[in-house]
Amino acid sequence: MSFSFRFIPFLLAALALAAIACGGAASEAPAATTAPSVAPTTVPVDTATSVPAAPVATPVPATTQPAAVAEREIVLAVSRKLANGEQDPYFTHSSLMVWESLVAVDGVLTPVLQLAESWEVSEDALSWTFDLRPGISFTDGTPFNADAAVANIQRFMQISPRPSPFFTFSTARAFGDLGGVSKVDDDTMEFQLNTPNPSMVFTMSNFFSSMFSPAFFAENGDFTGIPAATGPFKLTDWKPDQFFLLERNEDYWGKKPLVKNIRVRVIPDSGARVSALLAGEVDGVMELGALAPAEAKSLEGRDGITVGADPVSISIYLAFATDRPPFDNVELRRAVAMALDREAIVDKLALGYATPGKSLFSPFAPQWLSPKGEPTFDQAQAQTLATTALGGERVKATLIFRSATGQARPYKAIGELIQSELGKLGIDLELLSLERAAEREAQTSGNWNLRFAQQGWANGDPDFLMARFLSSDGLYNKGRKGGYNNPEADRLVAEGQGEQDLAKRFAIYERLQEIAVEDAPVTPLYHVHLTYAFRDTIAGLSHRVTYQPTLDEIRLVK
Amino acid sequence: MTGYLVRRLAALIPTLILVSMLAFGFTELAGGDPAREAAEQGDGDLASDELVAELRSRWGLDDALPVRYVHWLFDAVRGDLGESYLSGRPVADELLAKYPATLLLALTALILASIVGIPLGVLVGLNSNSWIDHLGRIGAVSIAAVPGFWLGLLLIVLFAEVLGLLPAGGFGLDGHLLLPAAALGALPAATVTRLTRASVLEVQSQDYVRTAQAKGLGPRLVARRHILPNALVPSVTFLGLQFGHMVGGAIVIESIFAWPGVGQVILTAVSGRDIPVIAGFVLLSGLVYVVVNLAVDLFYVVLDPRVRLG
Repeated sequence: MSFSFRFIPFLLAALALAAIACGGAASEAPAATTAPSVAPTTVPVDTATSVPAAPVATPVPATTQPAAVAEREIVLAVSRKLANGEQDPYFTHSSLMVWESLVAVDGVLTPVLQLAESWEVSEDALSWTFDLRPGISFTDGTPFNADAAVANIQRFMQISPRPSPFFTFSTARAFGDLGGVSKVDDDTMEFQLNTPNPSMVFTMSNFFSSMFSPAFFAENGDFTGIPAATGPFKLTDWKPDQFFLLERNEDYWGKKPLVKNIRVRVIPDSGARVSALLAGEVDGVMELGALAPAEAKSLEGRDGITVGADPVSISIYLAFATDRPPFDNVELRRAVAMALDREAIVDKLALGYATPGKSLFSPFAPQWLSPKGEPTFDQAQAQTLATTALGGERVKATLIFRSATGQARPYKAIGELIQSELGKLGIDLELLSLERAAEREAQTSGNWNLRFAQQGWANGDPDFLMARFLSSDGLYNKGRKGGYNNPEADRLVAEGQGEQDLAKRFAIYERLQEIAVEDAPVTPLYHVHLTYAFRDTIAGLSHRVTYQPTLDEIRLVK
Repeated sequence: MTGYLVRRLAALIPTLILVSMLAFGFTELAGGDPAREAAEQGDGDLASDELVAELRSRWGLDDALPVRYVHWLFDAVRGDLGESYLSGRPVADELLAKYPATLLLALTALILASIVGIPLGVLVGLNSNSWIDHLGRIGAVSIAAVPGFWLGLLLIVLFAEVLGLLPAGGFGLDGHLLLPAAALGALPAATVTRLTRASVLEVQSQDYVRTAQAKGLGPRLVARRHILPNALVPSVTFLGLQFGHMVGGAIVIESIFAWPGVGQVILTAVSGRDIPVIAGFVLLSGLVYVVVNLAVDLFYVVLDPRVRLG
């Protein structure tokens, strides 16, 4: 059988040759680094005071750049595509820092001027006038002025509504009942509304007032290629689901980024992202979904790896179906809200990468937060309330949640904890894990008693959250069949929408937070921290409260 | 032969109509509202009922399913597969931009499975009941028992993280291709090993092999001339049929290795009920599957002169 034995070395040699021949590619990646002398640091932040600073509210002269500017391309991995192409309303996600908006939000979710210099609203809130920053150009050399800004808003009106993997654009959502937009002079533009919208600077912030060079607008409102914009970076090349190449905008009007080239790679599988980081193929993993809590925990303490956890404007809530048994009983809802051990959920299930639920508002935007909105944890009181509500009977209820969120949102584990707590109160809870579209259909058809709700709050508008949570025709109550109906809440939400005085507005939202505790149509579970990691080859990576990575502050260490 | 080809290609049309009907029907049965999925995708927020209604009307989603299907079919016949609800991009562009990478991965996996599985199967078959046979069988069963995605992660940890020999993921015609192809090709390789082994054993007991041995031919010549050509037929059939499965199976492997094939597009389309993309993908996959089957049938003629098509 000499034939058979000769086969073995041949096979082994062929495989070995193939492995060696293919190994060359890996060597081009940044080499794995040795351990640093300092221990890896963790940066979980519990208070809003540590929120990263606002993007670019004020221009900084270009002379403030550090002398040494790194030249090597930095490679960062993300979990999802951050550019979507010519048909997308914005082409890229704001995380790539390619475009800027008339209005952005700062580190505590307050609207700030970005490409606008000032705004003025008429007394009837029907007319908004924006003075634009002078002397700014798009990267193709087209000047940014009132003509360009008006063309951008007209394009948005033309394509509305336009779905996007980032944020579906709709004129109504962005500006309200917009009648038109016009140029006043070269640096001034005006929005004309058909009905008043005092919150317009909140609702139009970020994506919805993003500005691009009109030279890239096709007749049908699509882009004709990668559009030129005004941001700190230019997108020079991209492949959907593969990579996005960013190059520093050398003519940027504000503080220039510290590095010249960044390659953002899409690695959808979280395990593969961690492997790429550990193998030194990428300098960091960043942005939403970068690391699941368990992965972040496993990377902590590794030589040469820094794990970060930054608070972002995303919160997880438990919503009740308030117009049908058993949670049409307000005492039973309050009992459930009181029985939830939010500290345990954060410590044991979110592994410390979150802040226990403080209010319907995120504590990372403290200007609207009131202690009256904080749910209490009192299991004895919860038991008393439940006994009164149920009269010693046991009831059944269903908790629905999304199955595909994986380890990033440990809904199943939280559901089991809640199931155990509610069992003691006399509620037999059935957990129903559903695929994304099926879960959404169960929500909109009202086939649920309890559900987890993840809610982002990227524009910082207090009305945005309160209207949907507490108004009887809000999206949680009407579209998602929460069914909560409280005339006082409806009145306060309407008053809040029209109130321009900040102190009065705060009083309205404070009372609404209090109502949320008293009636518990929705109760906060925890406020999310975005977990990410980077190697000791770079520094300066963190995330703003709007979950935008600080690409402009990253610097090369080695 | 020409008549056979024409008949097979003509049979393609009802097949594709049927699979596209099934794609439409099953997507509808799975529930969910494509307009709401599109409006609320990504880190987007809840959409108002008005916005969802506007999108439903724009895409004709309020029409009955058969009406929507017929519209789609008429457009598809003219080469227009529509636009993705989720990304707004033309479906044909989206799929054709990604499909070559998936085909490349599946083809490489198929070649790997062939060059590993067939020789190994012959080796263990010719040495039945020896330690080589036992080792080969245990190895094949062990690999067949490991799910592809798990094997993929193990390969990444070993070759990228620990040894640093190969990249953990991404696209490239070099080392980037090897790990995903190995993960995808492992199960077919194991199956082909076992299949080839069984065929070799069966052919070994045939009269013509005994006759060849009786004529005094050496074992190598008997193996090369009389055993291998006959033993290969089932393995080639299996590998051909496997190709279609590999294109489907590549979706998970692509996600793990960040391989830019259709995997991500399809995963997103299925979870987002992006009907035009799902239907387009099913149509394209059906086409590839049928064409590969036809190629396998034609290859029989080369492999086994006794086979006549017609």
